[in-house]
This record gives sequence, structure tokens and C-alpha cells, in this order.
Amino acid sequence: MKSNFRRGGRRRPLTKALPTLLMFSGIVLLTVACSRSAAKSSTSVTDREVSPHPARVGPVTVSFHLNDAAKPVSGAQVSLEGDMTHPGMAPVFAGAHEVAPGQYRGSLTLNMPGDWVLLLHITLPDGRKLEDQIDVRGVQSS
Amino acid sequence: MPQACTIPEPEVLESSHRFDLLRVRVVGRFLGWRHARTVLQIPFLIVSAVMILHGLLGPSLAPKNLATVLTWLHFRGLLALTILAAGNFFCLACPFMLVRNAARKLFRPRWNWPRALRNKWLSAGLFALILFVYELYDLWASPWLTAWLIIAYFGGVLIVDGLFKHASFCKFVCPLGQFNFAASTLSPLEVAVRDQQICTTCDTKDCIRGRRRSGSDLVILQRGCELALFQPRKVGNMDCTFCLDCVHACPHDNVGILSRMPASELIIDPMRSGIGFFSRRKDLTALVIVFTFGALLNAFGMVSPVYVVERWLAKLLHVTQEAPVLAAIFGFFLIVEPLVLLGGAAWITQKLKGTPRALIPSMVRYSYSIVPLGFGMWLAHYGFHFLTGLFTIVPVTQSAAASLGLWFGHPHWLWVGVPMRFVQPIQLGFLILGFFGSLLVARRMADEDCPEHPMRVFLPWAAVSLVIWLAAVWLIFQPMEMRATMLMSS
Repeated sequence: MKSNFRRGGRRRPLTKALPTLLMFSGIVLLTVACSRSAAKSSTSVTDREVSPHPARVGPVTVSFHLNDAAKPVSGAQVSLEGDMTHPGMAPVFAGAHEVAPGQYRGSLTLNMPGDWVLLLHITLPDGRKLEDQIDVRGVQSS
Repeated sequence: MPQACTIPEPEVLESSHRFDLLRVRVVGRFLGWRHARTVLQIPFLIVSAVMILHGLLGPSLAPKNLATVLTWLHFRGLLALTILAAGNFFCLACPFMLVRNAARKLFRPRWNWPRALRNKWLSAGLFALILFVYELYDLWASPWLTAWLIIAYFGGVLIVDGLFKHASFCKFVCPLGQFNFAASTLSPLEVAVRDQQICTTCDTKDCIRGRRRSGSDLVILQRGCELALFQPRKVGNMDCTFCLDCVHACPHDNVGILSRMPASELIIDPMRSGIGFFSRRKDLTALVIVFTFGALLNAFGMVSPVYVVERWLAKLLHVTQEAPVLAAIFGFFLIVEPLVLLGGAAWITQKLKGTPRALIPSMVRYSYSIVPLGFGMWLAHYGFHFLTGLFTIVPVTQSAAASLGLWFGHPHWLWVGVPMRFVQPIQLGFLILGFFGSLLVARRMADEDCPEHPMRVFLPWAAVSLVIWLAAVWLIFQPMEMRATMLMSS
């Protein structure tokens, strides 16, 4: 025999709460979107290079220039991050150093064939943060 | 001269004393509650909304976005493992149905699903199409496209079930649902009647008609099965979404979530409510082919040799676009290879006079024996991504929360998952399980159909399973190469 617990109770379905839930989720996530206002900066990353080219599994050297209105930016703190385009793979990290005024270089070890995205996390001397991306497609087995 | 066997009469599974999840103290009481499904759907709906918004507005890099991480790592893996361990509980918690039910309070569907489309041809085609789009547009690498895929799903549900009555989307359209239906033929649990005797004395048939208000036949208090599965004649999990409407509708409390032997429904061939005979459903065979060979194809798209094949094909076809090359690969995997393997096995079976069935009916009947192998391959593939990327949800959630201004700590991007060296034996285990499952199903089918000389049927189909299994093992030991731009090196 069926219990009253199953059949009884209120008749208002829980789906009535659906619009409220959807609205709440929407507001929360739109707030995220609006709060993602990146600071405008005249500082730019140029002359990005990844060697060897085409890239192979193993160490790769990443070099780039950091400029502000065509003037080299010295003294920035730079860290490199390599991610595969497929989620779930371990990222690789490394540091980069200034080898000439405004020119930075670092080495990362790519540990799997496929498509990689290299992220440059840059902290400028005045504390502002800058992020840049280099797509490294079709890394081949070594 | 060898004599052909006769086809035995279809049988119906007899009910017996089995484990019943609905009799388990807390879980059973919860699932028996008429709002249980809604309570399970709401978190999934919220997560879906979060995935859509993060996919559209969050980071464009897939490993850092909830849409891609949750969809391509966690959802797929958990879904396959849940089906293996229990049953089709992801359809039970499907958030699309929650939205549909809410929409149906505003718009009542007016039409019945077209008779010509009451089969699996469309859904099997959509299943193949999703696999194709996944490879062509590299959905795993694009949070934006992943979000739009989820939106398209919600839109598809609302349009189909807004226009057509019952659960037309689930039964005839949903590619994900078809995956779940095929895979759940191997689940240890099924929604089934507890005592067939009670059903023989039941004169209301509420499990399919729905429970109606006394005195007014038009007012439905509790829906019956929207997928046209009449409980006393229902066999197995095919087309069952575990929605539990039949459980709530049955006035005799005679429907449970019962244990059974996984894959048993593939062996027998009774007349099934809402489905008919498996052995007469060519469309179901098409679904089985997409399910099994699609599993190989989906894994093939992530290993190094695929790029060699693509470059060779591009040169052969004189094309530089990926779509025609991919179409050729799909055509080979989903049409040529199944026709050669399954058709060849059916032809040999016929030549050996193992079965009196004609070529196509024989191919249809025994095609179900490869379902365990297909599921083994999906488990190996999805299980790999799920386990190796298990903990990535932590830093991605931390990062998403941080962008909201909520501080859950600094994201630990090195939290990834179980090391590959531990996962590969698990993958091999799934494949071995699938292989022996397929052999067992083929052998039991042969015993059912041809008890006099079962080996004449079994051996050709065991050879098919062996070929598929060897291909699957070869695939999981290939070096992975997760590349989106396939023809760039040509």
C-alpha cells in the first residue's frame, strides 16, 4: 500500500519556484560579467616568439617585448603558463626574465602533443597587471 | 548437411524476488516522494544556468571555464559511471524536462509526434551529428560553443515538446537520451513491476494512463508513462528515463527500481511495450552502431594517428577543408566498417546455417551483442577524462567565484586528477569487461536461437567483438594528441 507521504501534501508544484531560481542565477552571473572590467592600459606585448617552430614536445623558449607607447618597459615580473586547449590536463608553469630592456624570455616544458595556449602573466613595475596569450597549435611529438 | 535452427517463441522476463531501491530506507522514501524528480532537477538546472553564463561570459580558455570543464570532464564521466553502477538516473534529473514542464503550464502541445518519425532513425542521426560537430568545431576547446550547445538543447526541448504531446523529445529526438538508453541496457537496475500477478488484476492501468480525478476522466492528477512503456509489458531500460511517473501513478504501489542481470535485456527478444521486438528494429541497430562505433570514432579523434589519416585523406581528396575529410572518416567508421563487420558476421552465420533468419534480420538481432563493447569504450574514454581531470573543478570554481568577488582561496591550478598511469589499467578493465560482456551476450543469444549448434552463431559474432576490442585496446594505448586544427600540418 502506498504511503500518504507520497500522495499527500501540497498541490503547488516546485516548478513554481523555477522562474525565481532562473532569475537569481541570471542576476548573479550577469553581475560577474559586468564586474569583469579589464583595466585599460597602453602597455602592449609585441614580437612574441616561440621556438622551436613548429613547436615539439619538450622545452620551448618564449620571448616577447613589453612596450609602453613604443618605450620598452623594464622591471616587470613575468610568469608563463601553458595550458592545453582540452580541459582536464595539467598546466605547466615557468618564470621569465628580462634579457634586454623591455625584452623578456622564459622556457616552458610542453609535455603532450596537441594544441597549447601560453599565457603571459605580467605585473608591471607600477603594480598593474597585464595578461597576454600566445596560441601554439599542433605541438608535435618530439 | 547442417540443419538450420528454429527461432524460439519470444519470452517475457519473469518477476522474482529482487533488490528494490525504493525499499531502501532513506533513498527509497525520497525517490518515492512525488517531488523527488523536481528536487533533483533544480540543482542540475542551476548548474546548467551557471555553465551557460560562464561559457558565454567567462574565460575563453576551456580549462578555465565551468562550461567546458563540467560538460566534457565531469558530466560525461559521472553519467557513464552512474549508468554502469546503477541506472539511467541522469535522465531522472534532466533539467531540460523541468523547463519543459514549466513551459507546458503555459503552452499545451497539440499534435502527436509524426508516425513516420516514431523510431530511432532521427535520434541516431542526431547522435552521429553531435559527434561530427564535436570534432569539426572542437567543442571541447570552446566554452562559448559549449554554452550554445546547452542553450540549443533547452531550445530543442521547448520547441519539440511545446508542439508535440507526451515525451516526444526524449523518445524520438534527444541524442543524449539515446546514449543513456543504449548504455542503460547494461545497468544493474531497472524500473519494473514487483509482482506481475497484481498487474493482471489491475483494471485502471494508471501506470500508462495516469491517475485521474474520480468522476472526471479529463483531469490527470498524476501522469502515466509519457514514453508509452506499459509496465506489465515493459522489458529492460530501453526508452526508460527513470522519471518514476509509473511509480507514483500505480495505485497498488507495485512498481519498483529492481535489480537485474546487466545486459539480460539484450539477449532475449520478447515483444516489448512501446518498442516491439528488438530483432525487428533496424533503427535500433542503427543506434547501436552509432553508439558502439561512435565510441571508437570519438576516441580516435584524440590520438596521434588520426592526423596522419586526415593528411592522407586530404591529399587523396584534394581538399584543404576539414569537413569533407571528417565526413569521409565518419562514413568509414559509422557505415562502411559496421556493414563489413556486422554484415560479414551475419553472412557467415547464414552460410553455416546457424540461424534460419535472413541476412538483415540476423544482422539486426546480433548487432545488440556489441553494445557492451561500445559502453566499455565510452567508459574507458569518458572515465579517462573524468579521472585525470577530476579535481580541476576546484580551481575553476575558485576562479569563477573570485571573479564574482567571492574569495574561496587562491586557485590551485595544479590540482588536476588521478595520474594517467593509474587510469590506464582502469580503462583496460572497462574494455575487458565490455569484451566479455559482448561475448556473453553473443553466446547466450546463440544458445537462445540455436541450442543445437550455438557455435555456428557464436563464433562469427565473437570474431566481430574481438576485432572491435583489439581496435579499442590499440586506441587507448596510442599517444594522445589533443589538437583542434587537424589539417594545419598538411
